[in-house]
Amino acid sequence: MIIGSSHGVGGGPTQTEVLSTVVAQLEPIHATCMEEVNKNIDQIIQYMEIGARGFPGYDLFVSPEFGVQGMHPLERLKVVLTLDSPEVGRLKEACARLKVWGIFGVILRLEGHDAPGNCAIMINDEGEVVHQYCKMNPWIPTERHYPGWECPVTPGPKGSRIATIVCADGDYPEIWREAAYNGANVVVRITHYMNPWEEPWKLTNRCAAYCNQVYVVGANCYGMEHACAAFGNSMIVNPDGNIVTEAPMMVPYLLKADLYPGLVDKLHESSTTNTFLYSFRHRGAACKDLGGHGETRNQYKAYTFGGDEK
Amino acid sequence: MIMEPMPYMLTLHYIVLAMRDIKFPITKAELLEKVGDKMIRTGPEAYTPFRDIINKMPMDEFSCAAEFYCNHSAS
Repeated sequence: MIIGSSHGVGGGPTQTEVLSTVVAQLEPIHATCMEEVNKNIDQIIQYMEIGARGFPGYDLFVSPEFGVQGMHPLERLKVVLTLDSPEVGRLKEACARLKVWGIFGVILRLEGHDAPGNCAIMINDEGEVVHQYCKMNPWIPTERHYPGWECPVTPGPKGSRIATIVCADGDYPEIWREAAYNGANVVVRITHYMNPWEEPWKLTNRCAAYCNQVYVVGANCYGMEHACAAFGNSMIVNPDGNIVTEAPMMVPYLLKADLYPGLVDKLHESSTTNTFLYSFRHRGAACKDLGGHGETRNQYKAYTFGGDEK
Repeated sequence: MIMEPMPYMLTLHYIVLAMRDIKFPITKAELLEKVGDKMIRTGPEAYTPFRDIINKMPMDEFSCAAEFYCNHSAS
């Protein structure tokens, strides 16, 4: 823990629950049929159980993008799922049985669209899907999923408020800010992040954590596939941008760290300086001309597409 | 390094100490009731009632500490 080096927590005593988080770094089969999907789910459940043995009582399990179906370049549409499919049902059952919350990357059929969405879902410890996010920034031109339209934040265990983003999403600063602005204290980034972007992976995770003062949980696949190699290096980053723990590259791994979501809330409430989530909406608030509230208008052309939102 | 004589500029430090028990959001009225009577050291030999400092702030409520301290700077 290096919190306090760059982001000071002000005020009096701070209370926070402890969110024990387990991240699976795994290699999925790039499935062409439901039998292979079920093999991937076998693997995920195995990781969940290993976590329960090694870190008894843990709260939150996170698995990577494409962990359930893989990403077969030609046959991917054969293995699209729905939230009520038996395969997702197996994940619900595992969460309820182990009494843990789980985050999973699932390619889901989207109502009203031909193309599926590249989604992250969160299942609570009673086996209910409580959160669904559809990747807003598919990795174009390669990825052909339908883009998402919102970044929801959902109450999770132990005082967490969780947003999920998916892989290339994390290359866009606005999605991280959107998650934090919507109230997340933990942003989970599930990925199939590939070479040669090992350094951008670290940079984007750390910058996002620092600039938005949230925990970042990055769960990456590893392994060779049809066109590239996902490199692993899953990581958990503190709200000050320092890496709490990280997995090696190109190996199966189970990462574990304790997070303190209440500390993030306290940071946002009580910090004297570097209060980015306040100050970006109150620019120049220390200037006498602006009455203590600063400039509250959005004057960034980048966020309104130059005023043309069409 | 030879330190030049510096302006006082320690007021904010003493305000932060006086605000230790305060939780946000909070209104100016609540703040005055809780810490208004504290004396803030505003110079080597000078003290000012916190009430006077708070009353100069332009806003009537503060959503977070950052807003409060910006109000202090802007007052």
